[in-house]
Amino acid sequence: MRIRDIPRADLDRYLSTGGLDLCLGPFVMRLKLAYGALREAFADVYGACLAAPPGEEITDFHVRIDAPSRWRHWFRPQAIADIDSPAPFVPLPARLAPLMLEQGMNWCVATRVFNLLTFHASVVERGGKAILFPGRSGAGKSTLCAGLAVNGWRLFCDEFGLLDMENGEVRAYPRPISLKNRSIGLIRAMAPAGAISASYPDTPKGTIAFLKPPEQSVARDQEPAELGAFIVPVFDPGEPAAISRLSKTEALGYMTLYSMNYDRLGAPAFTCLTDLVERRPAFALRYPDLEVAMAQVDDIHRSL
Amino acid sequence: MEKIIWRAMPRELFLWRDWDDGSAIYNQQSGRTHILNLTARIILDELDAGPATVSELAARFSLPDGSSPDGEGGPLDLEATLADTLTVLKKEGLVSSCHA
Repeated sequence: MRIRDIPRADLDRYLSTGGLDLCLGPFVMRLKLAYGALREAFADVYGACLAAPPGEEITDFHVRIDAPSRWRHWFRPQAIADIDSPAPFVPLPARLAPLMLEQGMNWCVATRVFNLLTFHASVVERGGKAILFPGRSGAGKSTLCAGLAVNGWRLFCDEFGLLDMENGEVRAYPRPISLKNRSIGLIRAMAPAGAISASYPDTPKGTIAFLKPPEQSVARDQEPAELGAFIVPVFDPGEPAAISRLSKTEALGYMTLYSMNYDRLGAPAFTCLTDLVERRPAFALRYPDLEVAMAQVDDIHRSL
Repeated sequence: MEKIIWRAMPRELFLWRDWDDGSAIYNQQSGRTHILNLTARIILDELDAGPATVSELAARFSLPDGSSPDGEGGPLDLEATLADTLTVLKKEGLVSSCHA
C-alpha cells in the first residue's frame, strides 16, 4: 500500500509501536519513529512509496529514531538513530529528526550492503541508459541530480549508485534528495508545486530541504537500467564549463575511490568494474551553473 | 657493491587488465587493486621475461646512444627512475628482490 493511502491513525500507530516496513528499491527497512512531527514529515516526503505492516516482508534493516534518553524526549528534545549495530551518530535537536532518519537509512546502505557494488553517487536515467555521478560531498551531485529529476529524467538515487555485479545493471532506490542552502531555491523554481519538503534551518550544513522522490520514479523502483556513462561532476562557479573524457585508468581510479564496498567484495568487484570501464565512457564535468551542467549531461546522453 | 636482482611476482596471483594508458591489477592474495602507469607496466613485463638488476633493465630500456627513452636524462637518471619505481612496486607486493 502507498504510504499516503494508509489512514493517518494507522500510520502513526505502526510507526510509533511495532514499526512500518518501507519497501523501496532493493531494500525493506523497518522504521520506528518516536516524534509526531517526524512521522508527519515522513508521510509527506515518502507518501508515494510502498509500505507494509511488520510481518508481510523480509526486513533488511531496522532504523529507529528516538530520543537518546527518556529525559531528552521532553527537555530540549533530541533525536538519534538506533540501527541494528553500533554507529557513530550524534544526537540532533528533535526538529531535525527527519535528517537523522535519512542519516540512519544511509548508514545502513553504506555499511551493510554486500550483494551490490555501492558508490557514493547520484544516478538518473533516461531512455534506458543510467548516468552515474560519483563524487565527494559538496561536488554538486545532489543539485545536478535534482535538476535532472525535475526535468524529465528518472531519479534512481541521490546518495547511492547500486550496481548489480552479475549483469552490470544499475538498481533504482529513489529516496528524497537532500538540497542545501542556495540549491533549495534553484530547484524549487524548476519543480512542480509541493515537490519540496519543509525547510530545516540551522543544521550543521545550513538550511536543508528535501526534493520528494517523483511519483513516476517511485512507481518504477523495481526497474533496473543499463549503465550508460560515468560522469564525475565538479561545481566550480569561477571557471567556464568543461567536459573531458577520462582514460580507463582514471575512470577505474574514480570508481574505486567512490565505491563504499569495493574493497570488501574482492575479485568479482574488480572484474565488474573493469568490464564497465572498458565498455562505458567516463567523463569529468566541471560546471559553473546548473543549466549548463544539465545541457552537458544531455549532450553526453545523446552521444551514447 | 652487492647487486640486487629484481623479479616479478607470479602472474597467476593477479587479475590483470591492460589498457592504452596503463594497467589495472587485482592482487588476489592481498585483495588490493593497483593502477599502473605505462612505465611500471613495462618494467613488470620485462621482469616477467626474467629477473634482472637495475643496470640490466636500464640497458634494455636505453636508446642506442645511451640516453633514456623519455629523452630527459642519461643512463644514471634512468637507473634512478627504475630503482624508485621498483621500490614502489616491491612495497605494493608486485615484485620481489634478492641480493646476487
